[in-house]
Amino acid sequence: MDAELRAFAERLEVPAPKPGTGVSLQLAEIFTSVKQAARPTLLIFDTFELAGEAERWVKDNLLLAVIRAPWLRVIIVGQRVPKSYGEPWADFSSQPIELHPPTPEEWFTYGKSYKASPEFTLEWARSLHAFANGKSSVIAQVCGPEA
Amino acid sequence: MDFTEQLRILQAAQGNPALLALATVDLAHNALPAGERTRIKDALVAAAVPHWCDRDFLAALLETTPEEGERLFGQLRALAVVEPFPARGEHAVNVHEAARLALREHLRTTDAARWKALSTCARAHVGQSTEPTPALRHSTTSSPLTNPPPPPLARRWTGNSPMADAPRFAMRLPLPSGN
Repeated sequence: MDAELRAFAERLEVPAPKPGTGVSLQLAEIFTSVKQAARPTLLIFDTFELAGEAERWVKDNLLLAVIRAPWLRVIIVGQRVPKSYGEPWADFSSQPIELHPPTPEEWFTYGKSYKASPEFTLEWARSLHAFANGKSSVIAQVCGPEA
Repeated sequence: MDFTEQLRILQAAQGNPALLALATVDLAHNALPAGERTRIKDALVAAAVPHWCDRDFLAALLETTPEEGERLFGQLRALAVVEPFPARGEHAVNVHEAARLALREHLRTTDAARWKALSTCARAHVGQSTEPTPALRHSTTSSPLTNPPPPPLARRWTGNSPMADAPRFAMRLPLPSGN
């Protein structure tokens, strides 16, 4: 995790946090540097349901900071995300957006960017979706750019 | 490869997640001879045993030369089921978790001896490195044949979800009004 947090800090162009101090402390250290810079910043947290100890830091520190940091945006993605009801930052958040795997129609629209062949039809995309069990990594291999 | 052939390859997987992952090799590298594609599939299975791998790790798992390890590693990176794993370096990758778990189970049930050999090799390779203990545990999440659940460290916030196909939610916090 130290390496991931170091990479996270590098992308934000702030000093790397002190390793071995735990996720929350390192995130706090990174965020302190980010606040000092106060540049337009977007933080995206994926797989929030696995945040562990960092969940409390996000809820109790980061989201509260959003209120006073107009330069900051936060996106939290996961099978579970913080509930805004009753929270001080509720007025600054939007309703959760439920994400679904792409439909055959959406894959068809995406694939048209890469597939000029007349064989690439919506019907074909539906068959592809069915045979691939809807698995995005498999469908992307076919509908996306050539390897 | 024509579109009918692509569907035929996927249909042959019969919805099996591991076979679908392996089918991506045929889809991505269809211009290569069958024997070469089989070699890439072997590499994909081997790469799925540890949590992540890089060129040298892959070569060790396959007990091959660094040159062939590099070539196979490059071919794996062309697969949509393989993604960057920056926590272990700029050139490290991992097999997407849903595919990784499916490939491990497929290997364990179809070739237990190979599963055991690859697991042992992965553990030995990580043990030779200077990584701290958590990384070692993270890299060999299953002991051969016993297949215990991964340790908590392997389930931490690493950007992978064991339930990748489950519903996910996104919340965004827009700019406060008036700013």
